[in-house]
Amino acid sequence: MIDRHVVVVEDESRLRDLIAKSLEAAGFTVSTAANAADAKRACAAVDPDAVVVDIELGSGPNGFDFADALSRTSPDIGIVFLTNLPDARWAGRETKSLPNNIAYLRKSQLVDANDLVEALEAVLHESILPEQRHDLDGNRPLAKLSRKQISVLQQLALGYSNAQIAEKRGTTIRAVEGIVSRIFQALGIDVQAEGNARVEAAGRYLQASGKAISED
Amino acid sequence: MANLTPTPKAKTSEAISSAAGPITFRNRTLALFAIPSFAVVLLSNLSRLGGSLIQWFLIGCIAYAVTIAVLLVFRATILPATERAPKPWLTIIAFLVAGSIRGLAVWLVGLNWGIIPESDLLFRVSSGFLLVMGGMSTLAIYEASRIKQDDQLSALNMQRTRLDELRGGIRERIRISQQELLAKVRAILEPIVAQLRSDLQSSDSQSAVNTIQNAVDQLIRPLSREMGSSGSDFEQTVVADARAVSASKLKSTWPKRVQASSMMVPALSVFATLTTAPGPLSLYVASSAFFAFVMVMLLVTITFEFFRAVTTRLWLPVWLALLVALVPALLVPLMCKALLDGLGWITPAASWLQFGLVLSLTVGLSFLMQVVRTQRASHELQLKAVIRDLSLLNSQLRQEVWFNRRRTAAVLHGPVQAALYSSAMRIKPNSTLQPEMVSLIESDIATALAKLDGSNLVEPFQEVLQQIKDVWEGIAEVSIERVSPEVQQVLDTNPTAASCALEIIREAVSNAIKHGDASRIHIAVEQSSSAFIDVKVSNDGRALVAGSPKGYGSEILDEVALAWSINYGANRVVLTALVAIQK
Repeated sequence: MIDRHVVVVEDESRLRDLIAKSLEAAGFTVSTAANAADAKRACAAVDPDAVVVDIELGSGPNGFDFADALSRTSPDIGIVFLTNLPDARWAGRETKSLPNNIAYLRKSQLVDANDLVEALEAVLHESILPEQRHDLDGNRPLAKLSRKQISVLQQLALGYSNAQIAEKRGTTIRAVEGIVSRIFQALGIDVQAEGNARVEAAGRYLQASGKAISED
Repeated sequence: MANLTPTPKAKTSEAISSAAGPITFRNRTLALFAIPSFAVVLLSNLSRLGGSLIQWFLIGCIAYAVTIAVLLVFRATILPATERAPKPWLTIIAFLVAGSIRGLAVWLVGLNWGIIPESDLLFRVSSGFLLVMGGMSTLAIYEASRIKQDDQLSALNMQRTRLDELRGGIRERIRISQQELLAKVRAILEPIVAQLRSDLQSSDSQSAVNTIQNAVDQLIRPLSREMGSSGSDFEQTVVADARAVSASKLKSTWPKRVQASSMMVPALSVFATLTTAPGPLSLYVASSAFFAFVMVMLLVTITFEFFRAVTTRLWLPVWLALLVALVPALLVPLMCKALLDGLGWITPAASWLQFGLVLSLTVGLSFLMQVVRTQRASHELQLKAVIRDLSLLNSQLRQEVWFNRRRTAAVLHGPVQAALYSSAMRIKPNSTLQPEMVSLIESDIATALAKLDGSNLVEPFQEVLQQIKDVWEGIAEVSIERVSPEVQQVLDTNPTAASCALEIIREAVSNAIKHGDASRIHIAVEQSSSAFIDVKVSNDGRALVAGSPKGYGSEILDEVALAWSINYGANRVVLTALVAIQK
């Protein structure tokens, strides 16, 4: 088998070690990094075939920053995002702004390490299957919402009123009311039902994002 | 005199709009008019026309009652005392009608009692109008100033209360709320761990995997409800409660010293002369009344302006400034009498005594008005300072909430989720579970849970700056200005501000390269005030298109920065952000 090198970028040591072991068991040579800067150095040192990168990497540059930098200097390196985020919009990025030849796997959907190995093989052979793009899965959480709606939902989850959201977005309260109403509709939240529709929407956001708000 | 508040200059347009506005017709202004109304009747007539004090007092009552009755009719019909635009012409008509009827009533009663001659009619009607116009306008101007001062004081009270509350209670509430949140998360995780232990002991690997997969949902759902339902609501409640308790905490205080010249309003004295002098002059020097009036007006104007000019540098205690302001009011009648007597226009001393009294009342009222304006100016300065502190504290609170959530999130979705996911991945390949796996996974989860106690998750500032530089090496040259030891000390002792500053820098660098194709970026972190640190990220990239919609970057900046701006210079784009420092 041809020796293929993969850099695993994950700030959580347990998961990083486990991923590394799984990939080594599948025949890859693995280097690991805990943050984007270490990953950049590792890539410079070993010139890998692919990287497996988390998006949330602590206080410094995130996985998208690293992927952007990497695709400018080494566009031929395959990228597999392994993250909690349902899709790029949750970190303020458009899905279409991501490079084409990537796999995007959600951690919560990845119980079998073989799925990761298959995704790596797919990016290395530029034959990515739809099931290796969890960010494009129609059943992913809040898939029906636009980026703008997700952004408003995020502010709603922060506890902001419609007036505050309007001020922050530089728009009118009426416009925000329209967006919030469409969000409730898209999420199937009954505004007449018992309980607070805004709290329910905030709950959906946090449940879907798999993270707390305001974190990139 | 840095601690003394200058008195703002009175503006004519402001005075006219106050005199012609609703304040003129409010009960308080109408009641205050009793003072000049009675004073003029009692002081100007007794010595000249005879009659008893009781007779003139009764005439004064009738004059006041008639004036107020007419003004009330105007208030009930076309000049309401409720919020409305100034109506100068209609107000003058109201004064003309009220003053004329007042004069007529005084003349009729006086004539009937034989103490006012028939020839006084024109004088009574014209001076009635001028008195009502002069008196009511001056009182309305004073009242408007007083009401503005009350509003200003109330606003200052409210903002100070909010500031005090933010300084004390809310931060504590956030800390407690954060602790409660962590306790809840721990309580949620414990049964999950127990279930996991049970699954592992029963060797049911699929059940264990399902438990782990469900764990995230079970953990996040209650957390999200907690976060969605707290925040701004409780802040508002706390602030409202505090406001109610301490609403009367702040009281208006008299200035210690005032600028003597600023306490004089010559225009009002001229106005008082304009409304009181023509009547008596036309009575006593009928043939030369116009010239005599011009002389008096000139003398009043010159004397008051002269006194104002020579007292510009005098900062005096309030009582002394009042005495100084009264000097021209007392001097002018003497000078007028001497001048007119010298010109052969003999006038009775009583008239000048009355004129001196009117001027003194006007000076006193103008003085009070200027004291109120001084207080208002002082409160405005205080309000500005309070609002500045308030915005600083608001920024700090936003940072704190953001930082706490981020820190909790970092633990929950970092070590905790990683432990759960890695456990699931360990279990999955095994159809039967080994006993040692139980203790291994339990240990992983316990270690992750221990981090909820608030371990220090903030990476060193310089290290993260270096990470940002390293990641973009080869794509853009990122230079970092040396951070001074003083700033470093502030950042070390203030993890929230450090974390916020890093978020701003990370976002700015990333955006400059991605959207502006910048090739050179310079980062500077300085401290220009004890209240905040200055983050400046400049680059040689393209300027963003004006009017582009607010994106994630600006939302994060709004959240964590006290203030921020982007400036486009010669081939440079400079992002400047102020990050509040927690005290």
